[in-house]
Amino acid sequence: MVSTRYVNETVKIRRRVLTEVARLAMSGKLTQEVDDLPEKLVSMGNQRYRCCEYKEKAIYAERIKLALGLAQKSEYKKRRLSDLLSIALEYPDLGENQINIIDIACEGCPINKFFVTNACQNCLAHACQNACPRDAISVVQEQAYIDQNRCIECGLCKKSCPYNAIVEINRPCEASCQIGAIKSDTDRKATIDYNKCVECGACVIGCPYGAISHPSQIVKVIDYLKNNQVYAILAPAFIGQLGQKDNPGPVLRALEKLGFTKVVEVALGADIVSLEEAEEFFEKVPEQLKFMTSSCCPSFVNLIKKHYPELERHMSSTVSPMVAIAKYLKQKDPDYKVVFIGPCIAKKSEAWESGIVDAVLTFEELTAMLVAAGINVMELETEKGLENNVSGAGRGFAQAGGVAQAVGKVLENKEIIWTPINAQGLNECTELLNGLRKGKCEANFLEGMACVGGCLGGPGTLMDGKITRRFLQNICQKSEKQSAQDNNSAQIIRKDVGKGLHREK
Amino acid sequence: MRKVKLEICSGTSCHLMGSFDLNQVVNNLKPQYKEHLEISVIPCLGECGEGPNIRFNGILYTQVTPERLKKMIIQSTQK
Repeated sequence: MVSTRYVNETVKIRRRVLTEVARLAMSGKLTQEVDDLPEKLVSMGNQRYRCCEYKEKAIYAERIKLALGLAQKSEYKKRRLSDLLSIALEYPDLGENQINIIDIACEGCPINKFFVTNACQNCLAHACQNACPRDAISVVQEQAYIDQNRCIECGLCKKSCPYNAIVEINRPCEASCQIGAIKSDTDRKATIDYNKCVECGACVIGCPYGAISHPSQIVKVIDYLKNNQVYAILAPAFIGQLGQKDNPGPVLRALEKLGFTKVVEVALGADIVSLEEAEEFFEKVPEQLKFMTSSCCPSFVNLIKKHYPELERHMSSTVSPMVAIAKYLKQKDPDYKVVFIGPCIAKKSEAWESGIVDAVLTFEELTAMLVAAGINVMELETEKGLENNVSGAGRGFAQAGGVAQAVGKVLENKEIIWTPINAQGLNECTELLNGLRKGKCEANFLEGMACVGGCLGGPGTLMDGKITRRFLQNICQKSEKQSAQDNNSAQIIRKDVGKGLHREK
Repeated sequence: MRKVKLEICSGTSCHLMGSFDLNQVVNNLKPQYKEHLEISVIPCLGECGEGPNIRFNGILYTQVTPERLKKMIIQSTQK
């Protein structure tokens, strides 16, 4: 995951599309006006990027399909948006593969990894030729030339050149994917190997053409808000996302204005999970298992399931805070819809799999909805604040290290060996999982988060995680209760939900 | 020297379009530029949808990028 965030043009385009689709859905004008939307969006951008306006519009049409909740499927290609509306408004399940490549938006970036630039002096030493283990380099027109059929992409030529004349070119999508799930197909367009993809969303941020995206459920949620009682379950990473520093009040007020019946913090679910996971750890480690891993980050869960299936029994069977709180709310108010709002794309699959969360929005999608509804969070005055039924440790789940800390606090007075370690970003996660697999790592609890910085660095955030971390830490400190153990509400709910707090095997 | 007045809109619409990146430009300015600026954050400049917006010496600018803002600041403080 990229840690420094910047709202570049591809991000703006995605956000404009979401806002305009939300606007039409809210005013009930999708049917009449959706076909005009590509043209409108082309005129809203101040620059042209593609070869012609027609391609630009065609790409917008695909982005609109995603915003309507339609995955990139061949049967949706070359069909008018208004024809697809009937399918979109039945809200098809998003299923398990959220990351979509918009074919026509992918520029098929060059795939020759090493490339000789004009800085090559055709020197006498020819260090590159000497370094190449495959004799792939010759001199053509007074410059080194790499025979791409022979090149094995080892990079020795680049390292050896005293002029730094050989550059390494990585496709940004491939470079951003830390588990090698993106490759180019025969026509050089990117394709995702869904057997490997863990839906971290790094490629969505990485692609400079905005060709990788994910379907949205904004239209479904707008429908819920019009016709149902709806719970917003708000992930703790929300602090500071809307430019409100560490003041949560205006965001809570904005959700109410948007039409949510009640807002519940997912951090309450985190408290429940801390208690449950601590007990699980106490029971299983070290007698049954040498170590245990966390299970709240859906990308990390995907990583273990898809890349380390032999370690799956080490993964805590406790559900995620999202599922824990959703189960409780559905038990209490079965007629309510439950919408998770967070920083995460992978949560969409997890929600679908759980069958208990009705829809998932990213903070980005939520903000697009607020803009469409004309709600300016900066202008809302409110006395609202967070409730006292959540501990600071529970809210801390949103940052790297927060889960281990919260579980550790629950275990504080128990006589056990507790040696936690935390991994943030898929690189660290794989490194530590490899270590644990080989028995080279001494830790007995691994907290894994697929994004650098934890959820605060998620692909659905609007702010740099380094900045929001300060706000989150303020909120955690200010919380009346510090540990899940002090939280009576969490203890009661935990008993209520009971066995539902564990994944089915 | 008279101070240059810079108002940055941080309304939700502008925020979605990256007004925080403009704030970061200002936060990361060298003191020699910053001391010439009178900076305020405004909840709305009334041009929602065209954001991120700023008012620079009383004049409204829409769709401002961090690069453009940086240039504007440097140019105006050199006069």
